[in-house]
Amino acid sequence: MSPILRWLAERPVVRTAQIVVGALLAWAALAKLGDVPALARDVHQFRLVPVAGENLLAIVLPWIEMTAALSLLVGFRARAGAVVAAGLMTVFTAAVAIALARGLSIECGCFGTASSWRVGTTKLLMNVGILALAGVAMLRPRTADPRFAV
Amino acid sequence: MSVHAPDHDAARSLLRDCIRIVVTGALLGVAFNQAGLGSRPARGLPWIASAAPLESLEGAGVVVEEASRPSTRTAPSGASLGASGSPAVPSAGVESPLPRSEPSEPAEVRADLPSIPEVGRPLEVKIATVAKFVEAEAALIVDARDRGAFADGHIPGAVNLPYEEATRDLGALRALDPRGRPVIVYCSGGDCEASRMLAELLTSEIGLRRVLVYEAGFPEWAASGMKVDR
Repeated sequence: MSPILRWLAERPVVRTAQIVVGALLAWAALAKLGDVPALARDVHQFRLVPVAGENLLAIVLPWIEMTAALSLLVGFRARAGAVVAAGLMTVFTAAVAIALARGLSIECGCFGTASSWRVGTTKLLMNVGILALAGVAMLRPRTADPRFAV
Repeated sequence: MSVHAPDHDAARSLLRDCIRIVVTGALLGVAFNQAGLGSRPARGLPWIASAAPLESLEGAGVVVEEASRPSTRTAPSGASLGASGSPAVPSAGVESPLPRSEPSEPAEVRADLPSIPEVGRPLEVKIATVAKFVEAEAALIVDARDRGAFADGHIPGAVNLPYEEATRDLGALRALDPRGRPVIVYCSGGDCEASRMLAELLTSEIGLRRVLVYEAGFPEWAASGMKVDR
């Protein structure tokens, strides 16, 4: 294992990544829950889901994010929470990439209506960054580093 | 094999936990929405999204009573229209109300065409109005169905731009040139959403201001005995 990977797999690093990803997911979920109809409209703008399924997706998506976020923040089944977070981020990143490829100029809706982020390269890179962080959060912690022992 | 058993068990356990998280989240979402729907006033979203009905051309303040009847210059007696604005199906052997090769007379024909307002959102249009625009070649007609359906038959003068292709490549959408005319989009009627979605793309992405959706689409057009090009 390379030194970088070994360092990334250290328990404090993994735990920090889990907390950061959990906090981001919780923020995104709360923002979406604040205006679910707006989320349904944003989902529609991406034109990736059949119209009939848009509401259902908008209804369950923020709660799946929230459950994964709580799991990461509390540290209960945190690896599973990180895997779900990584799965969600993969789907979001793919959706942004497809929208970009289609030349759509639409609101991302990633953090509800509170943010006015639009689909673009910045958003794509941000998603890739969070996805990488979720990848770290998924790592099985190696041995505890005595420097961080409590 | 036994060496890998713990890893295998760990992977299965991880998968189970992931499923639990997703299912718990989905159930919470469903429960929360159900509670919202049950509250007064209701705050939840309908389970199944349905596109809100389009505002009709008439609803946008356009007077189209003359448009409920095909041009007297071309309408045969057997193709008169009912009060609902839908044409009666002509009896067998009656010529289509649209001329097949007769040159149009724009100045005369356009006098009774409704003026389409520049509202910047799709409006619904009925067959009688579509027929008048087709006859006068006063609108860009866009067929949002797939290539095969278009080849089997389409409204005269229509250009084919399948919705799926338009979403993959907005360049094809931008290549449409209405030449200052309104755009009328149609697909297969019924549950077909392609015409409406394409119309929304035309207004939101291309910035066209006069876009009409013929929601009843090609099935009604063909069943009404209108001319069909192949």
